Parts: sequence; structure tokens; C-alpha cells
Amino acid sequence: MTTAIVFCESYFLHEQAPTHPERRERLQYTWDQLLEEGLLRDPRIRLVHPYPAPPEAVGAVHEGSYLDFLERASLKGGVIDGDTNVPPGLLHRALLAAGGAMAAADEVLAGSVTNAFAMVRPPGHHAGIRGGGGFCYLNNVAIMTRYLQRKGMERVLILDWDAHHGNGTEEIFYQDPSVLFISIHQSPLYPGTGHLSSMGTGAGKGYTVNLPVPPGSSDEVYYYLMESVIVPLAHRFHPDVIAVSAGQDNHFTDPLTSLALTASGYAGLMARAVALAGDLCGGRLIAVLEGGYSVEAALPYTNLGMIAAMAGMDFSGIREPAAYLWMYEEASDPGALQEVRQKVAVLKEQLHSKWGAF
Amino acid sequence: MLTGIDIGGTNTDIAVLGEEFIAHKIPHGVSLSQILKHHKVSGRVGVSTSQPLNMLVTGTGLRVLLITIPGPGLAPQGVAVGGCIDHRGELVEDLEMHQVHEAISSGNPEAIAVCGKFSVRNPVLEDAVAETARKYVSPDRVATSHPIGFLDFPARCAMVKANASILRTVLGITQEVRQVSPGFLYFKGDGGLAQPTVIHGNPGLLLNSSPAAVALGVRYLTGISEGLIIDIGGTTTDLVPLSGGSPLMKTLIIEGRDTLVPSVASTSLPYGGDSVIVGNSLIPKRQGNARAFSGDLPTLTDALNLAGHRIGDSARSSVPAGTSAMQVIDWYVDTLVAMIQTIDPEMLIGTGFLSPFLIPRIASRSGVPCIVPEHASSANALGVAVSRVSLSLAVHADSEKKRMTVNGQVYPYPGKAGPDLIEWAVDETRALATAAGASPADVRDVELVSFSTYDVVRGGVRHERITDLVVQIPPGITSEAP
Repeated sequence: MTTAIVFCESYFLHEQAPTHPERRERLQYTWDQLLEEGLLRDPRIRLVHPYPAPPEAVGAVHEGSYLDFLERASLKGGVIDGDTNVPPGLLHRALLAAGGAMAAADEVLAGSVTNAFAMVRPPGHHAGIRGGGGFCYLNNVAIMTRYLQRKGMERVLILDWDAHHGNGTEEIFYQDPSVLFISIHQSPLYPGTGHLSSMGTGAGKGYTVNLPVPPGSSDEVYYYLMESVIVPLAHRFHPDVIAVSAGQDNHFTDPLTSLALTASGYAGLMARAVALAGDLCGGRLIAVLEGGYSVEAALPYTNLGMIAAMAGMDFSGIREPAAYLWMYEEASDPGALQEVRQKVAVLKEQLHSKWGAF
Repeated sequence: MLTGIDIGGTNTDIAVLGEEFIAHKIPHGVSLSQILKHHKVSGRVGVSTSQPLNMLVTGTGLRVLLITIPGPGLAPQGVAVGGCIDHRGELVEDLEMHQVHEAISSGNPEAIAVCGKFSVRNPVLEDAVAETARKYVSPDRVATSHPIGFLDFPARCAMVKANASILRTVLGITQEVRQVSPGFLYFKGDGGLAQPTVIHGNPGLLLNSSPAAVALGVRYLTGISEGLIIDIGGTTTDLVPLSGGSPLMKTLIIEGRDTLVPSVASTSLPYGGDSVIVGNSLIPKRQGNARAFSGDLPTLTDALNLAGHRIGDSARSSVPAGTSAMQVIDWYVDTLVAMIQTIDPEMLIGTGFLSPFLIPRIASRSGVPCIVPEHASSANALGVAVSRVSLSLAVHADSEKKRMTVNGQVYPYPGKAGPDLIEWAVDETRALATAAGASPADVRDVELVSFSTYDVVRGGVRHERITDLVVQIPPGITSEAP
């Protein structure tokens, strides 16, 4: 397998404020790790430069009035919400992130790689049709999804495993049966949406699947959800391509969340998604970076684990250094799995009329 | 006065550039110390050597055990031992020293190479393994990867393994040359000069220096900026493209692995003046000198004599029964012309002892104009003589940890971060180059190759800064060259 990594040093430059959680440091240590691993010279990896998303691609997802606001605010600065301001020059950097996801899609569509990882900043999955929020401005994965559809990939499965619910992505595709949106997210947590009962509307009913998980959920919870919900639904939906909103704030050291995924678990989860893509859609899978704020203890290892799994490399040695393991004991809750099992039972009943028994 | 010594596989060439140009060619078999006894060298002395590369190519290097400290990450090479330095240079897992002992005891190596992930940010674990390794093998057979100086664990693994194999030979050459020239400098594969202490940390910098030497020599002799150098040696013929006045750069591949060490791009044909004649062609093998230079077996040089040239003791030259000397020469020329046609150069520049006899024929056959400059047979040694001290400083400074490494070596933290560090690095580069013997004019221009700096934020508070930068004095011809 060959994996494209979409990245350029411009992705370091976006900064809402020097001390904001979504800052340059998020990718700097990961980049150091990738360089030290020699990953970018590996024949299984192809480094791809992004391009700014063109207006028609962005306009296929966001309303013109919101894009006008972003353009104006990008001149002198502006505010979206308490966590999200618009620094001068933002729009170009946001377009470059969305275009990074499109460049990843280009590589996969052209068949030059099996799958691709758009390692972009700023993230996108909280950005809805009419506005941004939660550190997000343009919905990168949604812009890429519409682009893929215009290129003939009619059915897209979006798997969003960021710790926060992808409310923007959900809104964009809530009525759309061509996109199956599945989100695993911590509950309760920002933005407070993503309830089990939110399943889409109109023709899109049953095409939004929310899997809220309690604090302390660790690898076993994610693996369970993959096996009991995501894989069977994906087989019924039969996508042409799988998109992953690959947040990494579900790691046990993340300062903004309370989940307990490990770097090894992250690689394992991606390996399962890659296998699913292999079974259903010729391996076509595009991961787009979302959140993740444990800049030192998690991101170098989770990003590496994810890329290794995508490229079919041996990821058995990818883990956090021992110095951080005490935090896992504090973060993980063995009782989380039981709670999730009960929720899944309810979910299956709710989805029965659409998808049958699974 | 500038002196260049090129220790090749076939000859040692000496070029002395002062008020007049003096060149000596000493055949293989004469030791360096004997040579230097008879040929007094003076002024600034540069030395290039292909001996380390030959050791690696011919497999006569030592049996090396590679011990790695990979920490968490991709599957390691070599024999991995526990321990971890992270991206910030923090020790986050202690070294499993018992594994080091086990690895060495069971491996029974002749030399030991040590490579730890992120050792260029903190070499403490590599140094600890090396200290133990030196209890098993002599210190001149132990190499660590951090002096290689850049992030890329697999590339450093490849380089340090070669370094462990060749270090002893390089130390030997240093000892010999220092006896007659204590302040001599080594000529590197990138075309610059460096102090022996720098080379001892990373002897791989010496590898493949021949194309860089000939490129500098040709530039000095001719000023030609576009063309293809054809350097005809005893064992090989090397093709070195020139573009914009400089050779093309690539990275050095050893045993199929990229070391990322900068090196001049060249193509090598395994035939030269000492290649042995079989039938009407040559075999890629040198078995001593040509008959014209007291050897036993007829070679390409002998074929040239039978075609009418007078090279060496031409009366001794002969070719095997049934062999046509002209057909042997044509075979060599045609082989070379086929390679030249794939490069499509504007001009051929011949260097090496046999170039006056072969280059006009090659030019005529390929249809490309040629030049064989005066002193062509000493172009390599001349290139070494006119080279200048080149230096690259890769600085990583972490103001929170109060830790700084320069080319992987721990430096006292200078109390500067961000752009302020550039000035420090430029001054340090000049000071180091000057200490190595560079003239003031050669250290005037220090290039900033890259710079990045960012905040370290913890708990919503801006703690300190991390700064990465690279400055360099690139290779080139010294301003002292007449």
C-alpha cells in the first residue's frame, strides 16, 4: 500500500492566539517524529503539497454570506465564538486546509496511492453551513466529500472519531442519503450535540449515526463500536470511499477531553478502517486531521500510528513513552464498555427500520 | 601556498599551488608516510582519500554490530535495546544496559555502531552505550550517530554503520598526515574542507569525494560552467555533470540505504587505464598496474601504446594473442559514448592521466566538443588544493530545557532564542571556520539555510521557545587561490 501525506509548512502558520490549544505546536513535534522516523523517504509514503480550495468547492458546502464574513474578518480580524476568533489572513490558511483534503482525494482518485492523510490545520468538523466554531472555519471533510461526489464517488462514509461531536458535518449531510455520517464522541462534551436519537431527517433519516461514549472510554470501546456498529453498517451502505475525520483528542493525555485511547489503539482503529475500505471500496480511504491537543505525549505517536497503519507498516512498536503511562490509569474507566454496550443495543433498535438487524 | 593530496585507489596525487604549479603522481604501493617524506608539503594542506569508500565497496570493512535505541515508533533496524529520548531531547525511558551487554556478547562484533532515536537532541543514551561498547572493542571501532547531526534515524543508522567500519582507517590516515602537516584539513564529499576532529565524528563525510575534487579542479582550471567531466582513472572512469558552474548534488547511498549525506552526483564506469584486457574488451577489474608501469597483465593503457602512444615504458606493453588493441580501445570508447549520449552534454572536459589519449577520440565518436585542460592529470589534487573550509551548523535550541545541540553535539545554551540566535550561529560559524584555517574572505558570507521558531505553551501559558536553524559556509574555491 502507498499512502499520501498532504502537508506543507504553511500548516504551521495558523494561529488564533499564541496560547490557543489549536496552535503550531500541535504538528511541530509530529513533524519532528516523522522526520526522525525517516517516514517521508519511505517508498510507501508520498508527500503531497496542498492547494487552496477553489470557491466553487467551498461554496458547495458553506453559504455565501458566511464566506463573505470570513473574507471580511480575514482582513482585520474577527470573532466567531469564545473559542474561535478569525486572525488576519485566516481565509487563505483555511482554504489551504480544505484544499489539502481535496489534494488527498485527488491522489486517491488518481490511483497514485491507496489512501491518504491530509495533515491539515485549522480543523473543520464543527464548521456548519452558515458558520464556524470550535476552532473550525471551513469544513474540510465536507468540502472534500462534495468534491469526491462531483468526481463520481457517489456514496461516501464519513467516520468521525474526534472526541468532540462533528456537529458541522452532521448538519451539512443531515438530509442526505448519499453520505453515511458516523460519529464516535465523548458525551457530555462540547458542542453538546450528537445524541443517540439524532439520526438524520427526510431522505437522510438513518444516515446519521451518533455513538456518544462516556469519559474513560479506551481502545476496547472503540474496537467494540467498530466491530458491532461501524463495520456492519458500512457493509450495508457500501460506500465508494471512506473519509475519516481523524481527531486525536481521544488520547488519554489530551488536556481538553477525558477519553483513554492509546497510540496503539489509534493505529489499531485505523487498521480496521483501512481493512474495511479494502473490503468495500478498493481501499479508498482519506483521513483528515481534526482535533488533538496533547502535543507531546500523544500527537507524535498517534499521528505516526495512524500513518503506519494506513501504509501497511508494522505498528507494533508504536506507543507512548513509559513516562506518560501513569496518566492512562487515571484516564481509563473499565466500566465504560458496559455503558456503551447498552447504548448500542438502543441504537440498533432505532436503526432497525432503516438498516435491519445488525 | 595551497597543497592538495588526493589518495586514490591507483595513485596518490599531490598538487602544490604557489608561485608556480607543481604536481606529483605517486603509484599505488608507496605508503603515505614515505610519500610525505620525499615530497615536502607546505602551506594549507587538504587531503582527500577514496580508501574509506573502497573499503565499503569492496567489502573489506569490519563486521559491524548496529545497536539501536529506537524507543516507541516504527520497527527498528539492528539490535534494539530499551531506552528513549523524545523529540524534546528528554530522557523518557531509561537505558536497558543489560541488553547492551547481551547484544555485544552474542554478536561478537569487530566494530560497534550506536544509533538512538532523537540522539541529535540529546546524545546521553548513545554515549552510555558507546562507553560500554569500548570495553568490548577498541575505541577506534565504536561510532555514535549524533555527530551526523540531523533528524533521520534510518539514515543515521546507515551512516553510523559505515562510520564504525571506516573510523579506524581514517584515524590512521590522520595520524600519518599529521606527522608532516599537523594542521591539515580533510576534503569532504560535498567539496569543502573540514578539520579532522569533525571528520572523526562522522568519517562518512569523506566518502565519494573524488567527483567533488575533480569538479572543483576543472572549475579552477577552465572556468567552464556547462559540460560533462570525464575523469579517466586507473580503476574507473567517472562522469561528473557540471551545470551553472557547479556539480549536481545528491545524497550518498551506502549498501542500498540513503545516508542523506550530501555528495556530488556522478556516474562511474568500472573501467580505467588499469582494467585488464580479455579478448577485445576489458573486464571491470584491476590486477595491479599496466605492463607499461611494471605490471604483469595487459590493460587499456597497454592497448593505447600498441595504437601508437608512448605512455610509461611503452616497450613493455603488449596485448594477448588474438587481441586487437584498436578494438579494445574502440570497445572502451563506445561503452563510454553510450553513457554520454544519455546525458547529452554541451562539452566534454577530460581529466585524469589518460585523458589526452582518449578524450579526443571519445569527442569525435560522440560528436560533442571537448577540452583537455593543462594539468588535467592532476585535476583532483588541484581541486582539493583550491577548496575552502565549508561548514554547516544545524542548531536546535530549547529555551525551556536550557538545552542546545549543534550538529547533534551538546553546546552550552547561549541564553538566546528566536531570531537572536541567528546572529550567534553566524558568529559561531565564522569562529569555527577561522579556527579551522579559513581566510577572512572565505568566512565573510554565511548563508542562513533555514529558520523556524515557535512557542512552547503549557497550561495556557507561553513558557519558552524552540528554535531550529541551519547556517552554512558552502563549499567552493578559496579566495586564497591564485
